Amino acid sequence: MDQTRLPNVDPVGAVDVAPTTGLRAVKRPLPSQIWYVLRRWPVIPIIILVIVSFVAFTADWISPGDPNFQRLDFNLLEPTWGEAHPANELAPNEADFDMTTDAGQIGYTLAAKKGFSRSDYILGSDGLGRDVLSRIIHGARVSLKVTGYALLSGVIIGTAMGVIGGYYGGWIDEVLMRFVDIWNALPFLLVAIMVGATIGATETTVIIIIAMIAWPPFVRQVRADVLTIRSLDYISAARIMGASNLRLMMRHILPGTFSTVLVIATLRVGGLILTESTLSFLGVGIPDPIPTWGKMVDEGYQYLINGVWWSSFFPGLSIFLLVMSMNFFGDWLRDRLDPKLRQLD
Amino acid sequence: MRRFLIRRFLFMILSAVAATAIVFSLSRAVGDPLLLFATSGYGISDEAVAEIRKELALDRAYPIQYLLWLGRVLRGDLGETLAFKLPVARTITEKIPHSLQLGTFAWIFSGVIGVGLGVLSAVRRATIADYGGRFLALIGQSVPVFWFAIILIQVFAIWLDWLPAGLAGDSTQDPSLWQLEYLVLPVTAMTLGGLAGYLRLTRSAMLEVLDSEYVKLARAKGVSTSFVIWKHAFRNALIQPLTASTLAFAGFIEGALVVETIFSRPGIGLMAIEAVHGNDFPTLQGAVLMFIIVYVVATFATDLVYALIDPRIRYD
Repeated sequence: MDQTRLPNVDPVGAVDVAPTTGLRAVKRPLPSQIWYVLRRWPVIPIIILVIVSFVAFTADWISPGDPNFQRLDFNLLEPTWGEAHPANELAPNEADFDMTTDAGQIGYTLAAKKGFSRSDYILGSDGLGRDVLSRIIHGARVSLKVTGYALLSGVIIGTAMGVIGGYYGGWIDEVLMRFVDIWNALPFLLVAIMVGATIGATETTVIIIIAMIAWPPFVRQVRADVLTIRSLDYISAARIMGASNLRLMMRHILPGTFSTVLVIATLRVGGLILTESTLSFLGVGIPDPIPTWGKMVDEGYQYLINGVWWSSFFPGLSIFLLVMSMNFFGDWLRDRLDPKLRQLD
Repeated sequence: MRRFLIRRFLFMILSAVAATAIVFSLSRAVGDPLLLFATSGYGISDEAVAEIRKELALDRAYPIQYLLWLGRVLRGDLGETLAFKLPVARTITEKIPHSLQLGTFAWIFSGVIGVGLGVLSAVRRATIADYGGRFLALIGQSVPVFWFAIILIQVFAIWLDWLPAGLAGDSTQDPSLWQLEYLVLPVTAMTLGGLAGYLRLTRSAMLEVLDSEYVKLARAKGVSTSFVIWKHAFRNALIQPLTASTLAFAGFIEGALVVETIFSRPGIGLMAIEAVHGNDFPTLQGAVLMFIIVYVVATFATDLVYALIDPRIRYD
């Protein structure tokens, strides 16, 4: 051991330095390795995001049942966790009945009323006997769809205003910025409730309302980016070559703001999902019968006093996990792409 | 500096007017408010509807309606609630102490805890305290407040039965507002979300200051660690959470909408939700006005705090 630590006088020609320097690869213990990977890459959030998106796109196929099918005989049923339930045995098989005759059909219906199949009520049922798991699976789709559209409109409006304000400067900039200030003073939750109560919320109004909240953060950051880019030499060069204002903005300035936009979008999307579910919770979100997570919590918590915790807990947990994954992913992306935005929030 | 503040003050008034105008036009754009409570054909004669319309000035042009409303608001008259014909202004002044109390408690707790944990997180960077703090911030940022409130009710009011699950107090007892056990759960529900922002802000500000040249110099000349942290770094890092705290307060007042609904706390948030369900648009307009005022005052207060505590800021 001591001999190997003698100074190696000619490291340049050495092919294998390790034996002469005495350095050995340290085998880290497994938990430490796992922690290293988890700290470096947003593994768990990405897994959750992939699962939620997969579930949202394939909801019709993978959902164990119809999200709106009500069975009052089984309302407020405890989660079965997929295990055999005494009532499961009663679930009838169509083959056992002569479905061509009335008596067979009636027998089948009667038998069906007494039981449910093993895939039902894995996470329990709500006050109307609807399957919580199926509703959560279908709710994922609505959440992603609404926030997706709203975010997209927010990105387009916010980026456009930021680019225009930053590029032209002067009074246009001033007016746009003051407009953003005023906009931020609007109590959106209340405005949303007002709109929802007056005309009755539809998917479109909810998307519009969330888009109204989504755009302001983009304006300020994009504008700041544009102010920097605008004074760069290649912009002057393009201008000298005769590029029009529109071309300068679209071709030369806009691409430079993409990383900022991407980072803010991922940081914002969690908040938007929360807003959507809050609206649903307050009863002015996506209308019935479309299941949404916020609405499920609202319907579920009425039964807390009966000891029914599952019908509000699981939908809320879904919101929480999805939003947390988005936020975590957003933080990670910001640190990667745009460290100067670290001061953003 | 005085000119700066006067300009911001005027802008505050302008934005209040503009924001109410936006809300007003939105509420008119989405439908005739009269449809909410008086549709002819349901036992109400056309003449009666026309009379109500006239009484509420809904037969005038929109800008005139808005100006009439604004004029009355400036005289302190917010109209009457549709259901009980009570002055809206009085209803609001009755309810707002509950919301202010809730908001103030949540504001103070989340500020103190959030800043404290933020400092701890920055000073003990990359230790278990830091990861714990950041994880808490992530949770606070992501948890839906209504769900968290429901879990609190489930655990502390139903399973453990330690705390009351709702309302603002027991009316058979002392009717004062200070029945603190009724505040614990709502304030906790709001605090978790609130402290996340403070924690992140303080942590990043603190890290930046701790990395600065003058802190390194202070350390190099042998100033004690705690003195560097509390006297040199903390006081500078506090600027951002302090300025953010004014808007955070407005956020807490708006957050009362959800929390008061869950805990049946008779504040301005529950009033607004009930006004929606009761189609009581004068009350709703009053509530919207309240929230707008809170927001514009908070924005102005942000500028004021900035001007007061940060001598580096330039006034153009």
